[in-house]
Order: sequence, then structure tokens, then C-alpha cells
Amino acid sequence: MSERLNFVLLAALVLCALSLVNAQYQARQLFIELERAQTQTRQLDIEWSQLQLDQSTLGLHSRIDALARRDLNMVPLTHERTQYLTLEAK
Amino acid sequence: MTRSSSRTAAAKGVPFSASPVLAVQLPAWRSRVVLFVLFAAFCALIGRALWLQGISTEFLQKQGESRYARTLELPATRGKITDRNGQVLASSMPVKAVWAIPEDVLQAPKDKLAELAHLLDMSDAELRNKLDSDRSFVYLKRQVEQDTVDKITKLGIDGIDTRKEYKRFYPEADVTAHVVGFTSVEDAGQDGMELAQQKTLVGMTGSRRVIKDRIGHIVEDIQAVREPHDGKDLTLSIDSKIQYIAFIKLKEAVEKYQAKAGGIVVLDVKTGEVLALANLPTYDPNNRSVLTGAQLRNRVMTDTFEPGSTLKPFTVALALDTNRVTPATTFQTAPGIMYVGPAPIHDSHPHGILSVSEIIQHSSNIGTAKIALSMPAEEMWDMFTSVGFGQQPKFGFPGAVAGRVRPFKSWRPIEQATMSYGQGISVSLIQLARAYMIFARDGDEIPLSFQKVDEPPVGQRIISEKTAREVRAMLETVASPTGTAPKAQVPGYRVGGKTGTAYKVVGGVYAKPYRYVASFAGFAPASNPRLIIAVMLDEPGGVLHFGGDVAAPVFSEVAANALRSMNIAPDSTVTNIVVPSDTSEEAM
Repeated sequence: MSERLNFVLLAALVLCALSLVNAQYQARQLFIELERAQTQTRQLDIEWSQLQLDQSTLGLHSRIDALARRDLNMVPLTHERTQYLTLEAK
Repeated sequence: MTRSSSRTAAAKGVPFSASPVLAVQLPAWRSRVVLFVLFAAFCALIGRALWLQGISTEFLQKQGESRYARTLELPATRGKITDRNGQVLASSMPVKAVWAIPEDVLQAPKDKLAELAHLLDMSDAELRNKLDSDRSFVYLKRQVEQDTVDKITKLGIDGIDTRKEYKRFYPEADVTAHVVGFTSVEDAGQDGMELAQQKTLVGMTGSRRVIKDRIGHIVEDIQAVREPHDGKDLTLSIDSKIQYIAFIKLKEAVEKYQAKAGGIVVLDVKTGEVLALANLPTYDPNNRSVLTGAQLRNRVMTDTFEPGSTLKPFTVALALDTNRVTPATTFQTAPGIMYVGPAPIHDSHPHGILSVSEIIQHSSNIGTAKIALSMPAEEMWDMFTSVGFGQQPKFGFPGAVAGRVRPFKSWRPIEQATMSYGQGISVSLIQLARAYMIFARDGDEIPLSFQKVDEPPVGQRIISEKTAREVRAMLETVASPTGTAPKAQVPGYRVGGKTGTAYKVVGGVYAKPYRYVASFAGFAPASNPRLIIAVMLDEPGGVLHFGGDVAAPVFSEVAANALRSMNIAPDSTVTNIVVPSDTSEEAM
């Protein structure tokens, strides 16, 4: 009887040991994936900052001003050429 | 085949029990020796195991750990600085510092070194100079961009390595230079808001200890991670559109009137936010290899000047507020010269009898002095002090100065008279702009802010609402065809303000020949002021040097563009601006 019990326990032990090994392996895989994702986050953050900076650089008022005047032949708005619309007073 | 078969045959031929080897009688000690040797060997093994596991375990674990555990530094970025609409004004990007071990690098072939020098933007001699050192570590160049670093790595020179660092980029460059400031190569704030807000902008680097596998992958953390904290982003009160308008108009004026320098500040009347602040000359914070003190100087904040006539409204406001005069009270200002003791006070044009309103409109020194002399010195000092003159500003900007208002006890009557029209007192442009708050805001005053304000602050009352409105009406007449600053008029809007032309003081006396500081401080639209704009031009060198001629046009143009960009409805139907041909009427 006790021999059978021992056998069962042995089998359980081996199973537990194997599952531990497996769990550890899985954990490491997931950890590496997490690591990769975090690196990507940083990379994207940097890229985002870069794009924001580019947006600011390309959207400089001096640049827009120059482009509008030179390439699009635009002139600054003046008061005389502005039609003001006001909400009807109730 | 035959040999092996004969051996089996031999083995088979003799039964084991009858083997002659068994019959040999050996001395008993030989087996003991073997037993002892085996036992001793086991003892040695156990001893060794005990030694390794028990006694030197710590040392061994440390050694082991050092082979797979690594401490990683987790970098933190400095916070961005943006304007009120989220436009980036300063941002840190990762770059590399290129460093070298001189001994190793000097072994490299000549053509590769030449190429390296080229990539680093230096001459061969410069590079050689840097490498010619007995230290084992030299920075070749800081803040090199990634593209260049890739090319350098491709050269494959031994002893060249890189280190990660950050570089600050300022897209608006010279336009916002004085407000934003700049940082050092070590990413520490040096000037402007970068310095003022260093504590919140700077990040905290973190660290973590990890196990790495053979390929270099991180396998797990062995200690709690110390998280890095990025610096907080800073939203300034600056509106980059208005900032650009202010900067460009100031620049045009400085060039046109050949001024030595200039400054402009635009305030939001409702919130106390600084919408624009520009100085000339300026600099590019992205490229600071050549910088002079004059370029770095934030004149709006750190330079004081005698404000001249821009101070007259405060004297008049005090007299109105204490019911000593009404706007209609008249004063005799003829014949254009008046003596206080032995000292004369001049008007640039004799005027005759003027009402208080007209004194402001025509900027009469004599009229203002007469009003001032009817009041005790202490009350005037209180007035100047309560609007911030001579007081250390509290808006957290490095280098802001207090200006100078001497204690009233030492005022002589002539000094009280001259101070009433802005001589013998010194203020900075931003103090002047802030003081005009009391007129633009119906008599109260709020603190200035360089950061975006979400809730309008509660004001502190200085003068009554009635007085503020009366002074506002007077200031409006200044910016009219008959006032001293017709060029300050803005089409479609009612505006008010006051010109000032002061002599420069050099070494305690007025510089001869006279050098001028032309200024204009005003608000718009007059019906419900939203903006205060103060302009100052230092030593205009051309024919024109009066505030009404050189500073007022800047006010007008900036106000027109800023009001439009803020979508503020016009409050006047007058679009035809009349500027009389003779506008030289101006007192000091």
C-alpha cells in the first residue's frame, strides 16, 4: 500500500518539478517580451517628441509668413477688408 | 578474430571459483590502504563542498552575480516647454557624446582620422590637439546627432565610444530666447524659465538591477526597480503667435529708427499672463558659440530706465482718487516754464490753461508738477510702491530687478515735481506694464505669471473704479489725432496709452549729448481692455526719437495683429486713421 502511495507521490513530485521548470521558462519569455515592449515605448516616446519638434519647426510663424508672402502671394489682413459679423442682440 | 575467440575459450575453460587469481594471498594491509585512500578522498570532497557552500559562499555568489547581473541606468528626460497652445518651445532629444581613449585612437590609420575629424566638424589639427593628452578619457565632441554617430561607428576606429546624453532644441530660436532661456551641456537650466523652473523640469534618473542571459537579453529583475521620473512639462503663458508679431514689429522698429536696443512686453489684462516678451538684440539658443552680454540681456526684466511721461497717469490718478482734482479742474501752464525753488521745469510747447485731461493729452510737465505739489510726498510714494515701483518683483523670473524709488522723507519739492512726470525714478519695462494694470482693470492689480493661468486671480484694489475709468478716458485722448501719440491708433479699435521720452542717466547724471529712451505703454481695446502692451526703444539714433514717433507705431501694429489673432471684436467704427503731419509735440 505504502509502496503505491510512494509511487503516486513520486509521480506528483516529478510533475511539479517539470511544471516549475515550464513556469520559469514562460516567465522569462514573457519578461523578455515586456522588456521589448518597454523599449518600444521609449522609442515611440522619442519619436513622438521628434515629431512634435518637427511640427513646431515646420509651423514656425516666420516660416508660414514667408511662405504665404513669397509662394502664395498673400498679403496681411487689414481692417478695411474685413467683414465683421456680430450676433444679433436680443 | 582468433585472439578474441581464444580469450573466450580461455575464460570458458576455467570456472570463476577456480580462477588462480583468487588463490593469491595478499597481505591484509594493502586493502586497508585502499580503503583509507578512498575514505580520505571522500573527506577531501566533503571538505571542499563545505568550503564552497558554507565558508566562501558569499564571495562566490558575488563573483557569479557579477557575471550575469547588471545595473542599468534608466534615463529620464527633461520636461518640454510649450507655449499656451501646446506649441513646443524647448524639447530634449537623445544624442550622443563621442569620447575616445587617445592612445588607442592614435594607432588608427591617418585617412580614417581625417574622416573622423571631418565627421566631427573639426580640423585635423584640432582633433590631434584633443587626442594629444595623457588622460585615458577625452570627450571629442558633445551632443552629436545620431546620424553622425552612426557614420563614426562605421569607421570602426578602436578606442572610440559613445555615451548617451540629451540635447535641448529650441524651434523658435531667437524669437523666444529671452523668455525660455537655455540649458548647459549637462542639461541644467542657465537662464530664463529654464533656470527659474529647473527643479520641476529636471528629471530623476532611475536604476534597476537585472540578470542578463548569454545573448544579452534581460531575464529578470533582482531588486526593486527605481523608476525614473521624467521632468514635468512646463506650459508657459506665452502665445507664440503674439510673441512672433511682437518680436518682428520690434525688430522692424529697432532697425528703422536705428535704436541700440529694444524691448516689448504684452500682458493679458484678465489673467495677468505674460503673452509675449521680446528683446533686441537677441541670440539663437541652439547655437551659442558666440554670445555677447548685450545679446543675453533681458532688457524688459533687468534694465531700469527713467520712464518719463508714462508715469504721469499715476500722479493724476492719485489726485483724482483723493478727490483733489476732477478731470475738468484747470491749471495754468503758461508760459511753459515754472520754477520750483531755483530749478526750472519746462514744457516742450507752452500750452496756457489746461484741464487735467488735457495735461495728460498734451503731456504737460508743468501741469503734472502742479498737481503733484498739491499732495504730500508720502502719498505719492505709497502710490508708486503699491503699483510695484521700487519693489522686488515676485513673478519668479531670474534677474528681475526692483528699480528705484527713493524714500519719500528725502524728497525735496523739485524732486517730487520731477518724479511726478517720471524723472528721478527708475523702473523696468515689465514693472511699467504691470502698473498700467490698475487703469486697464478698473483699479485693481493682479500678480503677473509666466505660466499658463487657469483661474483668473483675485485683484488687489489700488484706486477706485471711477478713477480708473477717468484715467482710461484721458489716456484714450493721447492716442487720438490731437494727442501726443496719434500713431498709436489702431483701426477698428479704441486704444489708450501714454508716451514717454526720457533722458538716459549715465553715471548718475544725464548723458550729454542727450541720449533717449523712447517708450509707450498702453492698453486695447479701451472699452474693455484685454491687452497691455509696453514698448521701449533704447537710444533711437535717427531724427525721430520721441516715444510717440518710434514706440507708439510698434504698439499700434502689435495691438492690431494681437487683437485680431485673439478674436476680439472691434469696438470702434473708425477705420480711417488720421496722423497729423506735425507730431513732434511731446514733453519729456
